[in-house]
Amino acid sequence: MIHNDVDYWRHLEHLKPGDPDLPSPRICRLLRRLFQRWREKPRWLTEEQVGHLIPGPTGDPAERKALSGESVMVRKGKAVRRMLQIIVRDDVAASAGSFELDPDDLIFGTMPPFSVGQGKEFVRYLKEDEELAGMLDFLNEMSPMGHIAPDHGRTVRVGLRKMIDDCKAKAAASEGARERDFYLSVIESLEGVVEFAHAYAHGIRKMVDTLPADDARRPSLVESAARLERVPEFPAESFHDAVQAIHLLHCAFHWTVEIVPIGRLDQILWPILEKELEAKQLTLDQAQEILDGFWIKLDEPAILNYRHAENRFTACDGVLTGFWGSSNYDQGGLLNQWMQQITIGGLLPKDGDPQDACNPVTRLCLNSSRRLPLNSPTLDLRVNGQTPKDVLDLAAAALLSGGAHPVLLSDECIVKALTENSNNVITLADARDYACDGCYETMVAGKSEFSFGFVSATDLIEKTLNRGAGIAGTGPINLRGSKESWRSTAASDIKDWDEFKRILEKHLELGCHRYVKNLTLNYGNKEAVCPSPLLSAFIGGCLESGRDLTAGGTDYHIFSPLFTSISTAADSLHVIRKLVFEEKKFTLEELLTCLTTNWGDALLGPDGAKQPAFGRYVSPERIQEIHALCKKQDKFGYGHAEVDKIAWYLIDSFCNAVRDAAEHPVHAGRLKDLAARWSSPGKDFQLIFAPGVGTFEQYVFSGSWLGASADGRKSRQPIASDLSPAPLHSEEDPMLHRRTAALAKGFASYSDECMERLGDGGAVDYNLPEDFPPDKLAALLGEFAQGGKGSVATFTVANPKTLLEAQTSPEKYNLVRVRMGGWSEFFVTLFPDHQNQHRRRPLYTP
Amino acid sequence: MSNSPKCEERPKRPYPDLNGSRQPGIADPQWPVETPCYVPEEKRAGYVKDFAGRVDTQDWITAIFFDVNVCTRDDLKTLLEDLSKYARKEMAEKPPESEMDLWIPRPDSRRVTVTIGFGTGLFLSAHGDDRFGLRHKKPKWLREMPKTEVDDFEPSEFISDLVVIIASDADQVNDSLLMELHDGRWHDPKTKKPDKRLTYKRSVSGYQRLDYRDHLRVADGAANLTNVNGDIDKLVFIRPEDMEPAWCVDGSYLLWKEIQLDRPLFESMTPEEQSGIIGRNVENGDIIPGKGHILKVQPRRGDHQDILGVRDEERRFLRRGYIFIGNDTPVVAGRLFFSYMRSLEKQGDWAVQMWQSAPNFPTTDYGVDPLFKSKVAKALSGGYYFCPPNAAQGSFVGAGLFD
Repeated sequence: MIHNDVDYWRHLEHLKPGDPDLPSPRICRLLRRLFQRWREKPRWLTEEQVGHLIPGPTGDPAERKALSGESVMVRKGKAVRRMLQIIVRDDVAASAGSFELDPDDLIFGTMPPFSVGQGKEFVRYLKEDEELAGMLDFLNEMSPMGHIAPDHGRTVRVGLRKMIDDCKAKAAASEGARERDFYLSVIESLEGVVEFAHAYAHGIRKMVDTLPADDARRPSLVESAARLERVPEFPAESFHDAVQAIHLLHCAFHWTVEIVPIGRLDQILWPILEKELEAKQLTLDQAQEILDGFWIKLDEPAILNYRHAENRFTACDGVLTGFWGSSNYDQGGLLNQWMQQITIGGLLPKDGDPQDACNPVTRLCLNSSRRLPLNSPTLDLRVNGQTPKDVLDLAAAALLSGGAHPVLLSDECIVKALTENSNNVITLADARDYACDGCYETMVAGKSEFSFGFVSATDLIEKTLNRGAGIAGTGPINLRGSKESWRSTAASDIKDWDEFKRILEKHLELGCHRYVKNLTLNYGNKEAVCPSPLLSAFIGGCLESGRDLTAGGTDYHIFSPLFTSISTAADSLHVIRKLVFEEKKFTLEELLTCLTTNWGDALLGPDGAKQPAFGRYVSPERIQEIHALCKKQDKFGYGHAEVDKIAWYLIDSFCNAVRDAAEHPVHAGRLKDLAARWSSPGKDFQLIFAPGVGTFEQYVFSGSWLGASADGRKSRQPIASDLSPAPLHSEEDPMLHRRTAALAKGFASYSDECMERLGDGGAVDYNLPEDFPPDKLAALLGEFAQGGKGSVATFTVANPKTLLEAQTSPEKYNLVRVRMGGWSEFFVTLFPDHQNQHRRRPLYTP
Repeated sequence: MSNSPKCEERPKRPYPDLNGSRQPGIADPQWPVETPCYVPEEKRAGYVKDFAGRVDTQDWITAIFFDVNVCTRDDLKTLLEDLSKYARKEMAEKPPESEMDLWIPRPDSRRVTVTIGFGTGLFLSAHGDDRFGLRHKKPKWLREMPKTEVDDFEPSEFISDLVVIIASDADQVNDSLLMELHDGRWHDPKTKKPDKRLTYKRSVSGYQRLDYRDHLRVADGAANLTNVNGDIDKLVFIRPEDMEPAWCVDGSYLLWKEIQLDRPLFESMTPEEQSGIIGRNVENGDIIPGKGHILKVQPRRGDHQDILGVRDEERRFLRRGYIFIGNDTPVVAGRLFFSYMRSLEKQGDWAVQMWQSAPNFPTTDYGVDPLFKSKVAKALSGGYYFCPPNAAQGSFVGAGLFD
């Protein structure tokens, strides 16, 4: 495994021409430029540069009046167009780097630095009263969350001009202003994208003029200019056209605050590549070079130093649909995340017998991921019993190259979960067409809106132990703690394990009800503030129904309550069942004091008179004794059946609670109202609840509001990412991987049928040593593909020593990448708290 | 001296080009490509081989490293205006008349050049701060020098915002300017209030041997760039097609290193050992194929193209080397290398990282540059800078930053 850029070049220099790991000279030159960019602070637009759509007091009064009279929907479309005009202006491009061209580029389009963690800038278009109304709901122009897979097949096969013409016809035939404005807004947005492409064509021609007459790149640049005059306005005629069209539209999405993935790239590109290969107009090597060029473009805004990050967040950025509150999440874990998921492999989207969908583009994508040491795009490989062995071999090789790509998703689990355990709404053909959103969450590609919310499993234990109050807040201010759930039975009165579980389930049900309540209460509030006309044009159902995706326009409405901190919860429940109820080593009340005092760290009192602020007194010595006992117990994720079964019980209980909440009469009225408001002729509106397990990047954040836990973890310490085993506790120095297990054993912890209930998936983040034998890994991936080993598996390949040294010598390890669910990150870019969590994860061996 | 009765020019060393588009002191003073008429017939072949189109480095060099001690962009602009004015005045200075009636010919110029280079910190500090709002103007490849296997120093400890490189044929000129700049009297030599806009960090000084041998007494520079085929123009200065910020055209990147050379150790070796380390027969100057320092820093593989599709000769850069002698005991002496190039990435970085310090270049387990591996050489300090284009009359070096 190669750890840094210098070693990467030295490695390439020793490869023979034709080696599959050796990119073309042009790609190598682009990589040289890319590595330099990563070391620098990206340039950003200023608020002044983007400005407001409506002219201010010194602007044109007629234009001000005209724009002020337009609906928010129409203004949003114009804002999209304005934004795409601003970023290609010479003066803006020079300072903001928003329009960059390089003679070596094969694919054109500059990505913005608007990562999920750093925020964004966009043309403001709301009037003052609208801004206030939006702010009351924590919404503004930056609130679109993207996060859904657009249908790039339309870009490639239909082209924007035809879509514009169709929208014009529909606008003319519209009966209501709302529908007409939606189409007008889409037209403005799409025209903006066409102009955007033409600006690139013009820029390339200007660049060609600066090159010497004998520069070998001139012909391909002239072709690129012609290409951008053709696509995405018109259908793609070649593989190169298609990749260019997809990338340009992808850039347009991201510049206009829709941070979206790519979708099933291999399925979109293969038909057009197949024709070209047959006609001998292109070779696979040439296609590989084009794809490599695309990969590089997607990783241009990355940074290697968190000091180079911006924080442009407002209180309303990227708001989850159905969520009410300010936008504050673990930005620190998201500095290099653009939700650029590319999904490959899987099954063909049709009913009947399943048929594997891997094709030559699948393999090209895996090659790009292996030989280019990038952080983004994230490659998601869908696998099943039919996945060809060579694809699994390529996946193993890509993983062992150190990139943490691809993520593996089990079709066996996810298709079943989407069809059978998500309200029975999604057709089999559509479920087989799932793709990942910005992380690993699954949805029907190009047909779904999507959002999610969190329910913390560990928090439920706190509520169960502490009469509905959180433990982190116990002390002089909140006494028992922060009261948020039912005042349930006191710990001293809980008689046995079954009663404990029943109480926990009651708190769980309340958490799920609250999720459904918030969603049904707030659904649709974005339309009046931050509609998404450009993205809606590429999500099935919107153009057909004349409705924006924020207004129920999409074919599917997938919402995923996500269960978090399951491993900490399972480890804690194992302790409670075994040591409290079975072996009676200590009482539940004693345990509660241990936790509310943060395992003795928060005892109060002068002159050494250490006592808890509230609750039963337990001596410091007794607390330490209990702590030591708790830490020694078996943990989830290593094939220990008695602990693993607790995790499965939690997942099953969660899926039951989600299902029951969605069907509960308490929500029936609001669900009925939503259906009445958002159904359209021939299309009933129905929310689809697809439960999942995930923290994504929020393993530090999610732990930060949890108190100490019965597994021995201290208060506010990080939890595991996603459905992974818990990391070592923070006080256990040196913070190296010290828990190890065979990967096959790890798989066994996820072998229960409950995994097939997670329509949104449940990712397990495995760490592997760098010398893991490729054939052994490929074989294990093959076992995972067969099903019964969990729904989503991710793999970080890095030795404990590598991560340790990377903290002190970042330049020597600047290509080491780590993964948490669908996110991957350069280890050296992470803040120390996040780095330490990665270092404390277990290591899975061959 | 003239070999032709028609030639009226007197033999002279070339002057710096003070009014060109490129800063003086980079590729000038430069010997004419065409053999001057005053070169005697018997010396003309030698001129073509050793002088034509080559840089005639001045005899003395002093590089002074500063941090900028101003807060605003406007103050930085004023500082650079003042510094450019000072540099221009010093370069135009004529040697003073002597009160003595000297019988030896007096030089009509000390050939003073003052070259200003910008460090990456001017655009983006080591902590990621864009102090002057100039991030977007940063030359594309400028960055902190990376530490390599042949370096015995931490480049981060030697970064500075500015370097001012003074070259002349008179050490007293260099000393005078060094003192003025060090003491903050450069802006107004008569002031009693030092100018504190520049914070002095350190300086290095050296001299050039007239026989172009280095501290090891080995000939240096035979393979240096000449302009006979326009190589200096092609390989040293940024061109419009380089996709650099527009203000960078005609500027040049500077890679400099202070390299200690252990002459006692080197001279304790046999000529064969010395030749093996250098890669050139130390007695007759012949290249020894497949060996030594020369192979590691300037491989000559003809039409071979590397993985970036670049031939070795496209990665050459212009070197201006000087001998330095330290003041400490035991005496530390060696070579100051000031290397100028069109692209740090394509030339300096590649040569150092992929050739000189790469353990497997040119063959597996060859090791790093034998000059360093043998401990004869030891890199003590160094850095990367960007030398902007020359200031037009009435303008200043770096004016393009403020357009």
